[in-house]
Amino acid sequence: MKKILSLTLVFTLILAMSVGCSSGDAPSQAAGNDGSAHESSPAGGAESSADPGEKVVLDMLWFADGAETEAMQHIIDDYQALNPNVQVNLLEVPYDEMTNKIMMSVVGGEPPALARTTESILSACYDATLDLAEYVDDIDGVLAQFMPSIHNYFVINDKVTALPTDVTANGMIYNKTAFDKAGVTVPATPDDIWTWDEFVTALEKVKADGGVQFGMVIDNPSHRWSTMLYQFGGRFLGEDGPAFNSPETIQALTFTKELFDKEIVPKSTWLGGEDPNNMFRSGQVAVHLSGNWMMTNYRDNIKDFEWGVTYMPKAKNRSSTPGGKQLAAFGGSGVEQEAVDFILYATSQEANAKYCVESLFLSPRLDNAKLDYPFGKEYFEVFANELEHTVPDASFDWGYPDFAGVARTPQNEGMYEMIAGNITPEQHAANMEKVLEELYQ
Amino acid sequence: MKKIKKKQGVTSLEMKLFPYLLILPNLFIFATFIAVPALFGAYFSLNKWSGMSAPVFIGLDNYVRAFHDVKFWQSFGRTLVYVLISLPFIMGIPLFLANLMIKEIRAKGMFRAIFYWPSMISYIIVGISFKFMFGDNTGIINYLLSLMGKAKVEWLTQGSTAMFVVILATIWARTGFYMVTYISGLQSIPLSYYEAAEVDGANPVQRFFKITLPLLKPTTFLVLILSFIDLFKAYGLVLALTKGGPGTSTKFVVQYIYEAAFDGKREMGYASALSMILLVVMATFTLLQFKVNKGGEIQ
Repeated sequence: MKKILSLTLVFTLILAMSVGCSSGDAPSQAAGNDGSAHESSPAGGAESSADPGEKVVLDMLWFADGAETEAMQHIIDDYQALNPNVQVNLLEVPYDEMTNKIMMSVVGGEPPALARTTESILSACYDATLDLAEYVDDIDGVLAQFMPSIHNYFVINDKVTALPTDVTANGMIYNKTAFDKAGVTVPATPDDIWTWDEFVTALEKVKADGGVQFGMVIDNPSHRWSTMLYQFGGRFLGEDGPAFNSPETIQALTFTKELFDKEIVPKSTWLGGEDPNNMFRSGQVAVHLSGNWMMTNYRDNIKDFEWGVTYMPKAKNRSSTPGGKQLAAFGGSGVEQEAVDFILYATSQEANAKYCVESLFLSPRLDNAKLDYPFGKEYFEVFANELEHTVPDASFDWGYPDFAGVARTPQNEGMYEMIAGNITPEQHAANMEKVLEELYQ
Repeated sequence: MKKIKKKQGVTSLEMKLFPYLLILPNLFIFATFIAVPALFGAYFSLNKWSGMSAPVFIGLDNYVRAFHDVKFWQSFGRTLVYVLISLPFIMGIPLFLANLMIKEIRAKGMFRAIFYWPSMISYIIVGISFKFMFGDNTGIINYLLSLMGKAKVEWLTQGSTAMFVVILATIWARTGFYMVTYISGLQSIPLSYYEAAEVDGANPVQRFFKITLPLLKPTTFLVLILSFIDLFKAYGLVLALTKGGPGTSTKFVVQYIYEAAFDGKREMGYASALSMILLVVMATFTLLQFKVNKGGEIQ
């Protein structure tokens, strides 16, 4: 009896594990699609194999910095009301994990229907996305509705990999309370913009008299710091080869190192892993070189001091670094047409305006250039002005295929070594030049 | 008259089969989550593969590249330093605590629980907690130092102090687990040996070195192997605490392999080759330890 019971328990355990480890129902496969995400998508206008009455489920991988999740959910609710047979599930994933999550899903044969992307994520995943040109009759007409300067972020090797939902601009968020306390007035108009030297002088005064520990925090040595690079006249890439190792770049690198050596920017943010957002939110820092995506976060979380947005300083140029988020659809999901339909809806004028106003984002649509924001209207004018004065090199670099994948880690590590004093700015520039050559091979 | 059913004995075949049935679930899990992925890893190490497109067979090119990869061997060297410094503490401190915990002291159970508790916490949480304590500008320790009028220490901004904090966090997180292992080893040593030694006039230090340590050899060997492998695979704690920084000062080999696979250029094939090299190196070290320690046998 005991033997039978023991054997029964063992086999039950094995059975339970087998059932528990088995995959769920396989997604419905579109006609002619073998489920392999990297192979060519079905012909334009192909419909899903789902019956008209059947509920179509679109899983959308999503990351967020602030209030945009709620805003997107409202867009989804509106879409579902118009299309009762479609259900869109928002699946939140940390930003740092998005590319891996997409990759694992594609490799595992269960790609998501949709995902929110940035130019960096698309740079890694564009092989797996749909070419929207194959699903939309007048793709040129659709693309013409969006800012031309950011087309290269989502049109990669002539493939329309996604459509943009918002455009981001790097910019300077500052601690108004600290500036007022120190008696320093920020530039009120683009005509008053400081040079970087003037800006550093102002920061030193705020640091001394404004009740803050540090002058500035910069999110990271790659995308965020590249704003300074462009302002000093440097760039990563040229038409025919790398263009990082230049006098302008070395000037930007040297200037940046001085900011850390003078403790205007805390080394602990880049070297010690301290979160620049947390440091600014806690009132320890005078300015945060960040971008417009932090607006809702700071609006909701900063209660101890007043903050605002001011114009970034200039060196040789004024510039920001444009970025943005897009919605991409993936091959092999079985609901390709439905996914493309949702993207077209979410990026249409009315839906996009609603999304951007609620999320406090800049719209990438030319016909949504002036939106009626409920908060921080004047800040958006500053960000829009920064974008207007952005050098073309910025979007050329960040929209170059595979740039983020090849450059980000060596750029970050090289900057850390430079700040720590282990290599010189000249050495870092030379090292990066070699790394970037791979993009042209 | 009732017939009394004769109780049948266990057959020889059942005796042989039953142990295998008992380990079958674990074998199934091991095969599914360790052995099969390892075989796939070996296959992908011979390919160029981004994870998105189809693998392309390139033979041993990934291995040739790995042997010339200076950064990989630098991360390997850093890992070795971390292991060699941490290992004596991870073996010595639990042994010391275990010796205390087998004595008859009040609230022995409570103390055992307190020392064991950190090993139940996820490595990520340990890393975040230590970051909360040792953060340069947002950490509690520097805040307390500032209250005492002392200068703050750049715990996570300097390479050497960052390595110190990582080692400290590791020791704190693993001591309890190995303490319990040692306790079970100590409890298996017959008390009669100690009694006889006491009668012969041996002092506690002599009893420890002449009786405890030699008879604890199998347990010590087990702790050595487990902790060596555990330390070499360090990733979660380091990622949460320093992200391999400052710069690359605490970037160990598993993080390097992870970044080769999932960051930057996404070279899954190359990362698989690096994993295979790590596997061979660790297997070699383990075998050497087996030979030197004669499998933990007491002599």
